[in-house]
Amino acid sequence: MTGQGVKPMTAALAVETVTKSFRGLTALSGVSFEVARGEILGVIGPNGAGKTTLFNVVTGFTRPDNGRVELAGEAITGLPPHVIVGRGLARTFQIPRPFKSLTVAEAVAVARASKVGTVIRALGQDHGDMVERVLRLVRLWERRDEGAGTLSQGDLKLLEVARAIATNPALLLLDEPYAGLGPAEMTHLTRVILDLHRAGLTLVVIEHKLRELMKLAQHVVVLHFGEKIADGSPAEVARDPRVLQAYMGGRGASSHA
Amino acid sequence: MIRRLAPRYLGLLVVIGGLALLPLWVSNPYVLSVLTLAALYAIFASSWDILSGYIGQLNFGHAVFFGAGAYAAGFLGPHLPALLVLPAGAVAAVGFAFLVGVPCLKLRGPYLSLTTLVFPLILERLAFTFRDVTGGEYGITVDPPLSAMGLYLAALALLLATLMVLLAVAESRIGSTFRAIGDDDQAAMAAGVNATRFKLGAFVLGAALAGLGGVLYAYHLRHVGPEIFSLFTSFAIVIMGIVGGMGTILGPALGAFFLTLLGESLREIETFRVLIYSAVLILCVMLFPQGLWGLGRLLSGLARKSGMLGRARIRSR
Amino acid sequence: MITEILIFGTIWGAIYTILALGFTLIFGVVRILNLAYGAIYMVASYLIYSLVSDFGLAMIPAWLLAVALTCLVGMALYRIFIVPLRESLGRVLIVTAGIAIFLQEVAVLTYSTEPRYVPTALPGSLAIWGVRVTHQQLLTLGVAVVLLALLHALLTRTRLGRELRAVAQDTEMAALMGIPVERTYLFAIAISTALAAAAGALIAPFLTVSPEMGWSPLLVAFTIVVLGGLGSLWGTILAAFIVAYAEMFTAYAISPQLREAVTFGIMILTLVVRPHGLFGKGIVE
Repeated sequence: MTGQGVKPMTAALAVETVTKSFRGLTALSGVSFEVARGEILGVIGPNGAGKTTLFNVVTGFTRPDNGRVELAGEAITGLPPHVIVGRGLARTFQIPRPFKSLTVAEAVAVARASKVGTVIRALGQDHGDMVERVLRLVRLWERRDEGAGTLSQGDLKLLEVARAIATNPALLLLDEPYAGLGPAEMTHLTRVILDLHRAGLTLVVIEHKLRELMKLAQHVVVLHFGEKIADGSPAEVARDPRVLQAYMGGRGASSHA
Repeated sequence: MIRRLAPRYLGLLVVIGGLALLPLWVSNPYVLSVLTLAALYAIFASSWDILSGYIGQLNFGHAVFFGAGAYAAGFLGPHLPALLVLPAGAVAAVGFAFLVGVPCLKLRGPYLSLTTLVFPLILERLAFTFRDVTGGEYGITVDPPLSAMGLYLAALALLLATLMVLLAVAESRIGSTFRAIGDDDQAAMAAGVNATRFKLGAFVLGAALAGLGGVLYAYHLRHVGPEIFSLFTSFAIVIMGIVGGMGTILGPALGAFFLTLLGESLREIETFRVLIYSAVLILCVMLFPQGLWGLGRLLSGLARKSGMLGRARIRSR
Repeated sequence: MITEILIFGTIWGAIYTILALGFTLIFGVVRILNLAYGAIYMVASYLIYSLVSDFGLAMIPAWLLAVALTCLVGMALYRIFIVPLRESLGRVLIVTAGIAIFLQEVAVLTYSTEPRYVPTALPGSLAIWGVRVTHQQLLTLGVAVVLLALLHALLTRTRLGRELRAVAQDTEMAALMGIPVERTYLFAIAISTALAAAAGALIAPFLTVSPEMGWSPLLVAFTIVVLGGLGSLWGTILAAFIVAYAEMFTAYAISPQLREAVTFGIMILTLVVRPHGLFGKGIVE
C-alpha cells in the first residue's frame, strides 16, 4: 500500500524497520511508517498485533532489537522515556496509571513541560496556569482537589490525557483512549482530541473502536502479528483485502461499536 | 505551601522548644542523655523517610550515612575546628550517597532494599580490617567539643532544622514528584520526570541530614566503632520509621522518640529489647501499616478538618 | 594454596548452589524477597546442634528431623505472615526482616551468642593433593551433589517441576492453563525452605553455629542470583562456583576477613556493569 504523498516537511515521527522480540516471540517485525506533521494517524490491528509494543519502542520504554525512530528528524531510538518527553513526544497508557497519592491537580503539576511543543500556549486563555488550562480542557478542573485514584474510569482516561498534554508535546500518542468509555464520555474525548488537533498537535491513536477512529484519522496504519499490512487513508485501508482478512479471523472491520 | 506548613511548623516549634526548655525543671543528666539520643534517632529516621516513605524505595542501609558522619567526627575532630566537622560529616555522607545510589537506584523495589543492606556490612568489614586507620573493633574515641547540655540543644536544633527542611521539600512540587515516582515510576517518566535523578536527590538529601546527625551521635557516644554499621542499627531506623508511620516525615521522628524512650524504660528487660522491637515491627506491619502517625490521624479526624494537622499523606506499601 | 582454593571452593560452590536455588525458587516463583531465608538456614543449624548435643541423636536422623522441622516452621511463617501481605512487596520485605531478627534473638536468648560446635558424623580426614580435607566436608559435598541431582530431576521431569517453571515464567498464563498457583507457591516455599535447611544442616558440623550466621548466606544467595540470573539452572550453578572460588581466593590470598566484602563487591559490580547478570535474565528489568 502506498503511504502519504510527497511531504514537503520532515515527518513529525518516522519509524524505520523496527523489530522487537520477547523471549522468542516476535512482537514487531520490520515496521516502518511516517507521521506527517499535524495529522492524526490511527494504528489499528487485532489483539496482539504489537501496537502497544510499538508505542513502548517509540517512547523509550522498550529498546528495539533493530530499527530507528526519528522525532522531527532527530534520532530518539533507545533514549530514556523522560528525555523523549523533553523532546516533545508524550503518551498515555492503555490502562490508566494515576498517581494515587496525589490530587488531580498535583498529578498534572508533576509533569515536566518540554520546550518544544506549543500546545499549552495554544490552549492558553487569558487566565490560568498550565495546570488550570489543561484541566479545563478535559473538564476536570472542578475535581482538581480530589484524589487522583478516586476518579471514574472515564475521568481517569481524561487525566491520562491531561498529564500527557501537560508535558507540552508536539506529538501525542494515545493508547486505546476510548476503551471502557460510555457514549457521552467518548463524545467528550473526541472533542478534546479535535481541540488538541486544532491547537497544532500531531496525534497517533491506537484504537480498537474503529468507528471512532475512522472518523478522526486522516491516515491509518494496520499491524498484524507485528507486521505492517496496510498504510493509507481510512477509505483505502477499509477496502484492503489483507486488512479484511486479518480482522475476519476475529470480528469484521466495520462491526466494532 | 506556607499556609499548609505553618500549623506543623508552629507545632514543631512548640514541642521542640518545650524540650529545649525542659532542663530548667529537670536536671537529671540521664534523662537529657536519653532525649539527646532520641532526637538523634529522630533525625536519622526522618531523613530515611524522604526516600523510603515518599519514593517508597525501602533503604535498609541508612546506617552508612550517619556512620560516615560519625567516623568523620572521629577522624577529623582532632584536626578541624568544631564548626567544620559538621559539614565534613555531611560531605562524607553525601559522598557515600552517590557511591551507594548510583548502582542501587537503578533497581526497583525489593532488589534495591536488599542491595542497600549490603553497603553497611561492607563498611563494617572494612572498618574491622583496616584497623590502623579506623581502630578496628575498638573504634575511635571522640572528644566532644560540647558539654552534654550543649549537645542536647544542638541535637534539638538540628532536629528542628531537619524536620523543617524535609517538610518543606515534602510539601513542594519536588515532594509531589517523589510521591508520583513512588506510586508509579514509569508513569512519572512518561510525564517527563527523570526518576533516577529524583531518587538520587532524595537519597542525597537524606544522607546529608543523617551525616550531620552522625557527627553529633559520635559526640554523644564519645566513640565511634564498626558496630554503627551493623545490621541492627539500620534495621532500628526502619523499625522506627514504620512504627512511626512512613511517608509522613513527622511519623518516623515520633517513632524514634517512642521506641527510644520505650527501649530505655525497658532497661530492666534489656535482654528482651531486640525481641520486643522486632515483634513490634511485625505486628505493626501486619496490623497498623500506617503507624503511630496514622493512628493519631484516625483518632483526631476532627482536628484535621480544621487544618491543624496539615496534609501529611498516608501511604501503605 | 591453589589446591586449597580449588578444593574448598568446590565444596562451598556446591553448598552455595543449594542456597541459591532455594532462594531462586522463592524469588522466581513466588516473586517475593524473603529476608528470613537466612534465618531458616540458621534455625536448621541450631536444630541439628540441639538434636545432636542435647538429645543425643545420631547424625542422619538429626539431619532429617532438623530439615523436616525447619520446613514446617518455614511453611508456617509463610502462611501466617507472608500470605496476608502478598500484595505489597515492601511489607513482605519488612515483615520477613522482622521475622529474621526475631528468630535471631530467640537463638541468642536460647543459646547465647557463643558459637556452638556440632560434632562431626564422620571423624577423620584425608589428604587430597596435600590438603587436609575432613570426611565431613567430603560427605557434605556428596550430599550436596545428590540434592542437586534430585532437584534437577524434580524440576525437569516431574509435573510439579513443570508447574513451578510455568508459574515462574508467567503467573497469569499458568493460572489460565489451570495450574493451581497458590498450591504451587506453597510447594516452592516448602522446597526452598528444605534447601536452606539442608544447607544449614550440612554446614553446621564444620562451621560454628551462631545466631547471626544467617545473613551471610542470604546475601551470598542474592549475589548468585544477581550474577547468574533467574532463568537457568546452569547459570545459577556457574555463578555459585564463581562466587565460591572468588571467596576462597580472597580468604587465602588476601585476607579472610574480606571474604564477604568481596562477595558483596561482586553483587554491586554486577549491578553496575552488567545488571542483567551473566546470562541476560537477571533481576533488572
